[in-house]
Amino acid sequence: MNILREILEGVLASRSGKIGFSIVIFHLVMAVASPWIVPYEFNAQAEVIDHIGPSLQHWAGLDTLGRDVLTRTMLGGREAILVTLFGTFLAVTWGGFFGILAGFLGGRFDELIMRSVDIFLAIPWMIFLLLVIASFGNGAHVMIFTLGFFYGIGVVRLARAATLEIVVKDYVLAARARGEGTLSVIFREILPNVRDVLMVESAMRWSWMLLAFSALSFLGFGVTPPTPDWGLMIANSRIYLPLAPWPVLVPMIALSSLIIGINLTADAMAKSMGLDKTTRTPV
Amino acid sequence: MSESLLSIENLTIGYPGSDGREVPIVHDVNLTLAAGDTLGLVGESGCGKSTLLLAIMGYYKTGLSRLNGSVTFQGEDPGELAAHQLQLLRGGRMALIPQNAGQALTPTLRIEAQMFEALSLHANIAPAHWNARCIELFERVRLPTPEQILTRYPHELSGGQQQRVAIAMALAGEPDLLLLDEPTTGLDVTTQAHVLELLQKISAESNTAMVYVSHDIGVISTVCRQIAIMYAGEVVEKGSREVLLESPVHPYTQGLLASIPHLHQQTLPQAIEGMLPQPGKRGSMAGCVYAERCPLVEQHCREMTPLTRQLLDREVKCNLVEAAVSQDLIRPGLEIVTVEPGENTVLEVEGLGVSYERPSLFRKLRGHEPTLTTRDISFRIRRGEILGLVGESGSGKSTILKTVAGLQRPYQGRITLLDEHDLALPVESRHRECLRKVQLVFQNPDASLNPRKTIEEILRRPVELYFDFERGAIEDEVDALLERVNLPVSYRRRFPAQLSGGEKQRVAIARALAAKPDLILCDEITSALDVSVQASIIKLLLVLRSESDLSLLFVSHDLAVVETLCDEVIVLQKGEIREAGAAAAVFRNPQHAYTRSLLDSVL
Amino acid sequence: MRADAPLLEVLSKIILPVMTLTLVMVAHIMRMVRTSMIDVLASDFVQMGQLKGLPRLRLVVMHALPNALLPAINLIALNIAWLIGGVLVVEVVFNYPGIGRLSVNAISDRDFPLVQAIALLMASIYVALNLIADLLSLLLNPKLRTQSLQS
Repeated sequence: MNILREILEGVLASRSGKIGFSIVIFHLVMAVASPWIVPYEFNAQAEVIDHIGPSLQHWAGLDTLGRDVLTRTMLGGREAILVTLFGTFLAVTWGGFFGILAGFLGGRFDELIMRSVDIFLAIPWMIFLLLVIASFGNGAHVMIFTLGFFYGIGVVRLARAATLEIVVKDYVLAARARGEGTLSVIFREILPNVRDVLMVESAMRWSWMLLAFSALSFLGFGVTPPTPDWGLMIANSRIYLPLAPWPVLVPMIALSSLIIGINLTADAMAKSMGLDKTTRTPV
Repeated sequence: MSESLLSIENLTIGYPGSDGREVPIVHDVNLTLAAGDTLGLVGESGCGKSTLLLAIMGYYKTGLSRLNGSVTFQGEDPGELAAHQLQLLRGGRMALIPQNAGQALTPTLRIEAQMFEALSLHANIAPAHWNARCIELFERVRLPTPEQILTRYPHELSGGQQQRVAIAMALAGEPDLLLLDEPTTGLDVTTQAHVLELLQKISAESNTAMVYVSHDIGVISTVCRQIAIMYAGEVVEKGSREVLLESPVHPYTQGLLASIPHLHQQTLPQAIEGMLPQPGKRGSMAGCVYAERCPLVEQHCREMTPLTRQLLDREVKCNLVEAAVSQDLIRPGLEIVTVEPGENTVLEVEGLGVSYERPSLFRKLRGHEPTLTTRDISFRIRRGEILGLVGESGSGKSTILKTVAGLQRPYQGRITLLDEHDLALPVESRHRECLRKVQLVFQNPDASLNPRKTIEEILRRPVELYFDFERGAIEDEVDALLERVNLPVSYRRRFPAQLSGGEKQRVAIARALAAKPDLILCDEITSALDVSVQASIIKLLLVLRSESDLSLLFVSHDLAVVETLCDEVIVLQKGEIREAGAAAAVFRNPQHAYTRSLLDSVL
Repeated sequence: MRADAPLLEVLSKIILPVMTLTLVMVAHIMRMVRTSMIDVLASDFVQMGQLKGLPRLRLVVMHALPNALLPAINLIALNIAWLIGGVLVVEVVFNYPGIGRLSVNAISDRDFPLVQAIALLMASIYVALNLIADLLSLLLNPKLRTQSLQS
């Protein structure tokens, strides 16, 4: 718990960090609380449609099927955030574990892992994702596992690189010389020092995963309609963009703001952890 | 009186602190240098000597700036020059020879490209002659095969070659002043001796003035005629080398000189009480910088900033100059006592050979003999005995230590601990008891403690691992360990980053002691420490040895430290033993030519 | 636009999708090169360059830049590869008859042989890109070409 507090303090130390973090918290709260505060049913079609743009009853206007855009936007993040949060957690956990293991054990195990990573990176991820979804459906668990698996591969590389820097330090050698087992060394000596890099990376991964999820929904492979989702909303309404921009703009702003918020938070985290070398103290 | 080449007056360098006040790194420094003269700046880490050196070139690291004072070189102030004038000056009339030449040369350009660049900027000769001039310069710095060197990249050269290239590059502009930032750090003793000889020659031949920064007084006294001692950003004493070394006045100078171990010295080097100040961490600006550690200190020293007093033969910055001159502040050190080792053998090594090669099965089947990094190593350590392994880099001393520790597999030979445990096994295959009895301490205090753990966590681990203590008893054990290495118990909650180098090394030693071992393996544990701190670690080891009958295997390249600390010594060259015996005897009466050459290179 | 349209027509229709992809890539690459450059500018040899009296432009372009690009190259290759995966969305948005859209349709239609062919093609492109990146690295980094004397 100490760690989380440290990170939080670091993030909130800078102005951009405060802004970014507030945005993220806002979205998270919205994702949790929205079912209770939305003005309309997400599926409800307005009875009288005399005006599609923003009006007093519909602050963000109506979409092509007459549904309230604001409601759908507020609810639109729920599935995306849920799936991507779990997916990111999965990615960082399994990627981090194998990356650290590869960096620590070295030798043939390391070679094996790295070649596998290279192979998987060569696979066009979109196609693979689409194939999996086409075969197994687009349930939340399928998405979580697939996204988690794929994004974890990049984490393996990063974790391995960070581990390689640490594994040559004397305190790891000292632990080995004491007779500590592999797992013990990984968890006691290496992990606490790789933690920082992994945390920043998790934040970045989460933002990319959100974009990927939205892209999938956009293509029609993500969320099943009529569930509201930002990507889906953009896909549905984009034909009418010149006439009615709001159903596209509002979810777009929602998605972009969340991504920007995450990026700002990640940057602030990196700076406070000393991973970003742009600011230096003298001497 | 000849006009001085370089004149530094009341120079203060620092940065604005968090509370608005200025934090000085270098404070009120006054120095002059005549043409052709050589000045050495001596000080330990954090004293500001490198910052001062760079300021002579008008260069300040990010965040630092000149707060007061001036620098005058040949009538101009480098700090006030315009950019293009500075570019002409640097590398031209004034050139820097960096600490780590390997890092200071651009890795993506060939040596030729970099030398030609220097010549084009600072030498007044036509491009057609550049090649010839490079060869000339390389011959001057005694680089063999100059044509070949030109075609190489920096990483293809050895450390000594890189350093010579850096010197040649600095000489390309025919400078009137050379600035040297500890250029022999990291070089072998013999290479270092050659480079120093070269520098002396250059200074004599072309009357080039030099300012040489180093922590090593021995090195400085070889090259420099004038010496200035720096402490916490101030120059505390300044004079000619003979005068300073023979009769130091300032309490710090006296303390510093007394803490250096010398060959054939009968007494232990003396540590200075207290800690080296961190740069810029001075509490108040009033009072003497050395007040906290000074044996002569009186109340007014803490309030009154001392003035620099001109004595007949030197300058001293001390409030109590008269007292300092009249007394020899350093009591004679403790006599080095020869300790009779116990009867029992703790470690026995026979015919040890180690190879780093891993030949494939195919080659092994064909009877391929791998090249051995070390061969035929045999020695014995008895209870309570300290054995030193000396040699230059590549001699195999660290390899032997790592093999005994189980981090490296031996190719042949036997290693036995206490006549019962077989140490020819790697760490993974050893019993816990066997592991417990042999402990390691490493060279670099910054890398040997996990930065994310508290001191308490670091010390608990071996206790938890090897013994069955109850909760409360472990805490007491940790306290006891801290006390044994003379660290305050309150350090338990601190992180390594909050400790100084010497303190971190003590924690590393305490960690080794936590296992209650029979043998401690020390891998150059004093090499990364400042001289005054090193002396206290030496004393600590000797105390621990006599308290618990510990045996030590002490690897080092520093012969004086080894002679002071060790009972027996083994001299290694290229993986083989050249000479072995009682430390005092071997160093006083070396039998082997290699031992003699090693001793000759010691300054 | 038909998939087999003449080159000129293709070029005019390709501008917008290319700009979109380029913008995204530029953002990523800028970030990476900036970080790399900051690291390099803090290194010893750049400081030494200043102290040798090298003019700024020369120092940055001839000394710092090649060293900054080195780590960036590998990352850029990786990025391009990821982009190959993401080109789908751009094609759908701009209604461009490219391989991305083809693959989406193939998957929707469960035309697996086609999907396999496309996947193979994309993977080959990725491998080729990596090869180019490795060759470029070799070109820029002398340490990879020769043995180091420091062990």
